[in-house]
This record gives sequence, C-alpha cells and structure tokens, in this order.
Amino acid sequence: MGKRGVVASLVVAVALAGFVVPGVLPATEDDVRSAVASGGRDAGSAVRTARLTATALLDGRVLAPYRSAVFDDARERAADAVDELFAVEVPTDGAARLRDRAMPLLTEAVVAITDTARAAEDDDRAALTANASRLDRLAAGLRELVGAVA
Amino acid sequence: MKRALAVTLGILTAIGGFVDIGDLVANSETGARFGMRLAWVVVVGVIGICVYAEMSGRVAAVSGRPVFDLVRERLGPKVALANLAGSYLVTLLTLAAEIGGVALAIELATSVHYLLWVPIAAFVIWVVLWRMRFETMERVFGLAGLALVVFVVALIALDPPWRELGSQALGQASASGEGWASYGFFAVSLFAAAMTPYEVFFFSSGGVEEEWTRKDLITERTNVFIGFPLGGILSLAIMACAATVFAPLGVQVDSIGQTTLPVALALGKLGLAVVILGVFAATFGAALETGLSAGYTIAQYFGWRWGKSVAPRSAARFHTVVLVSLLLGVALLLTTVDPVTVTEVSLVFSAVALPLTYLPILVVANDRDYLGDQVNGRLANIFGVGYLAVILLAAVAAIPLMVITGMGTS
Repeated sequence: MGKRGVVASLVVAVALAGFVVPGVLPATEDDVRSAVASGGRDAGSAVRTARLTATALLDGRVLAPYRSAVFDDARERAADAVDELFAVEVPTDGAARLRDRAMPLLTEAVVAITDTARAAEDDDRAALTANASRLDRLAAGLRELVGAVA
Repeated sequence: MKRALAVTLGILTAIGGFVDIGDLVANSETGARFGMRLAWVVVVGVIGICVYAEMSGRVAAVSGRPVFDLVRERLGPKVALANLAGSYLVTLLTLAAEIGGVALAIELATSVHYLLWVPIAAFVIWVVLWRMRFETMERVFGLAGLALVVFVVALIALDPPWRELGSQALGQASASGEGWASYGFFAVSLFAAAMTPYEVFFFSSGGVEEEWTRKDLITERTNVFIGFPLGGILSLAIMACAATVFAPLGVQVDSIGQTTLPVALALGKLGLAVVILGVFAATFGAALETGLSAGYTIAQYFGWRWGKSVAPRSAARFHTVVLVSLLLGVALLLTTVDPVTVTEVSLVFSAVALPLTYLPILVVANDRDYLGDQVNGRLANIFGVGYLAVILLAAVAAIPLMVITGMGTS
C-alpha cells in the first residue's frame, strides 16, 4: 500500500471511530441521562423564550407575525426534545425512571407553549397571563430536572 | 467634498455590510451561553479580517487583478484547485445559509413559513445580481444593513449590568459553567464568522469591478480600518443583548426570532420592525456577495471572463455558475434542513478552509512582481504570519471540537 493508501485508510479509521462506532453501540443509562439533560435544556429554553414573548406581548411590544413565528419555533423545539427522548433506547429500570420523570415535563412544555400561542392568537389577555405563570412554573421544574441529572 | 462623501459612504457600507447570518447566529448563541466571555474572539477576528482584507484590496488595487486569479498563477493549478474546492464548498454552504436567513427574516415579518420564501428569495437575489449595478447593489444593502445599529440602541435601553458584562469580557468574572470544549467550539465559530473566506474574495474582486487603482488605496484602507471595526461593534452589541436577556435565564439561542427578541423587549414594535429590516438587509446583501463570490472563484480559476460590469452575454459561464450556485443553495434548504444548522456547519467548515484562503493571500501580497513597492511591510507580515498561526490552530481544532461537543450542544 502506498502513502496515499495509508492516509486514506487512516482517514476511514478515524471517521469510523469518531462517527460510526458511537452511533451503533447500545445505549447506556448515561446516554439516557444525557438525553434527559439535553431535552430538559432545550425545552427549558423554548419555555423561557415563550415566556419572554408573552411578556412582550402583554406590554404591546411585538408584532403579530413575529409573535406567531417565535411561538412556532419554541413549540417545535420543545416537541423535538420530546421526540428525541422517545427515540432513546432505555436499557435499565433506572433509565426508565429517568425518562418517566422527564417526559411529563417535556410534553407539558409543548402543551403550555401551544396554549400560550392560542391565547395570543385570540387576544385573550387573561389566558395569556395565566399561561405566562404556567410557563414560569414549568421553566422552574425543567431547571430542577436538568440540575438533578446533569 | 465629493471625495469625502464617497469615503463616508464606503465606511457606512462596510459597517452595514459587516454582519451576516454567521455573525447573527454565532454572536447571539455565544452571548446567551457565555455572556461576554468570548468577546475577545470578536476583537481578534475583526483585526484578522482587517489585516487580510487590506492585503487583498491592495493586491486588487495595485495589480488590477483579484487575489484568486493571482493565486493560480503564483502557486500553480494544483494548489489553486485545492484552494478552489475548499473555498467554493464553504461559499456554497454560506450562500445557502444567507438565503435561509433572508427567508427567516421574511417569516418574522409575515409569519408565513420560511420554506415558502426560499425559492422566492433566491429568485429575487438572482434578479438583483443580474440587473442591478455593482456599486448600487453594494451601497443599497450595505446602508440598509446599518439598521442593525438598533442592537446598540436596544442594549443601551436594556440598561444591562455594564460592570458585570465588562468583567466577563475582561476575563474577571466567574466561569460560565460550560466545559472547555464548548468554549473552544464557540470560539472557533465566532472567529470563522468574522473571517469568512468569501469576504476577501468579494472584497478583492469588488475592487477590480470598481476599477480601483493605487489612488484608491486610501479609500480602501479607510473602509477596512474604520468600517470593519465599527461593524465589529454591531457583532458585540448582538452578543451583549443576548448576554443581558438570555444568559441569566439559561436560555440557549437557536433561532433568528430569539436573536431579535431583546430588541423587541427593549424598544417595542418600532425597534422590532427595524431589526427585522436589518436582518433582511444583512442576509440579502451577504447572499449577493456569496453568490458573486461563488462565480468569482470558479471563473477566475478557469480564466473565464467574469464580473457584473461585463455584459452577461460576454461572461455567460460566470453568470451560469452564479445561477447554479443559487439553485444548489435552494436545493439544500428545500431538504428542510434548518438554516441555523446550515450556518453553524458553514462556520465550522469555514474555519477548516481558512488556511486555504489566507495563506495564498499572504504569499501573493509579498510578491514584488505583482505589487512592486506596495508589497507587505514588516508590520503587515508580523500580523499576517501571527494570524496564520491562529488560523491554522482554528482549522485543526474545528472538526474535533464539533465532534466532541455535538455541534456545541453539550
């Protein structure tokens, strides 16, 4: 094998070691823990962004198209966090407990953002205020979750 | 008076044209996660782009030929081909990201999903590239990009804890709680955002399009050494807005809607309208620049006629490359890949390709056959070589950091 062949083989070996192998190894409890932390962070970011947008809306500081776009992004981000956690293999009882602790909070995040967006769409200030408080509680819960598993 | 006006316009255009989708994304993501702890990277990046943009502008003004043209002649077709492959692919990714940025800005103004705007945005970009004069195009979008000054106004209105932001920037604040790998990954992204390769290709080719001569060296240097650093202040303001609003809440930024939210919170609907206009102008202007840069690099490598000042019929292959590049960018976005992710990936690969772009510029800028008495002086070479070391470090670290941090997510 010439020099170029050696270099090509090395590149393939590094790519296999870096990208392919980690992807096909069976999941561990640490993988689930990491997925919960990452999902919790993403959902928490989405919830807090929705909360900030709701505040701006209550103060009359945002335009309607912008509000819709930001709520859509936040909802998609929280929904992606749920999907990713669903997709993780759960190898042990401990991992299952972790997932079961996180999942209600993550799904609640999606629902709360959706409800906030609907209240904004309907221009229902009372519902918007109530949902803003709900988002605050959720954000605190998600932060606690991430702190517990990180 | 006319000269002073032209210089002022050039500076304003350089400021407004400095920020693109990469700067918007990287600065707001970094501000949200690290506060102002990575502000030093913006400063390092801005000095670097000043050093190399001045070199490439000087090459264009003195030799009357753009850098890429000379790279092939000076370093030979094989080395230049590696340069071309790396630079074109990165420019193409950046072009896709900029088109996505335009579509996202329109989504913020209309609430219609950005994917529906992607083909329309690309078509309008192509029409502007086809019909509008080079200078008009550069001025209109550069000046409209000045709307991003609203980030500075918003930052003042937010009344941030200046002392805390200052101590973060100076490295005196407590650690952010993020790992070293994430810190390194975002440092490399920010550096690449400031030194994106297409900027120097566009700058030197633009110099040839505008028929710069030695007489224009002062204007060129004024644009670079005043306009770019002031543009860098916009980048820092974007970072500081995110550091003020998002970092204390632990919110990670991953959308342009979030990037602009601090302006809405600080300035209300008017500020929001202005920042959306600024994002649109910045990304649209950068899409024009990257589209042209894609055409410039390939046409200059193969020795085809090129440029907007040449009638399309006489530079058909150049215009075809620009059109095909736009279509490839649209095709990439229509796979539904997130434009912000495309931006993040383009920044990583920009970092990898940086040496391919900047080493040849340094070589050409030291060649007396092309530059005569205008070759690099001692100071330019000290900075040039010093930055090349930083660029090599960023290029080597980019991919491993991307893998270790999962694109900065961990």
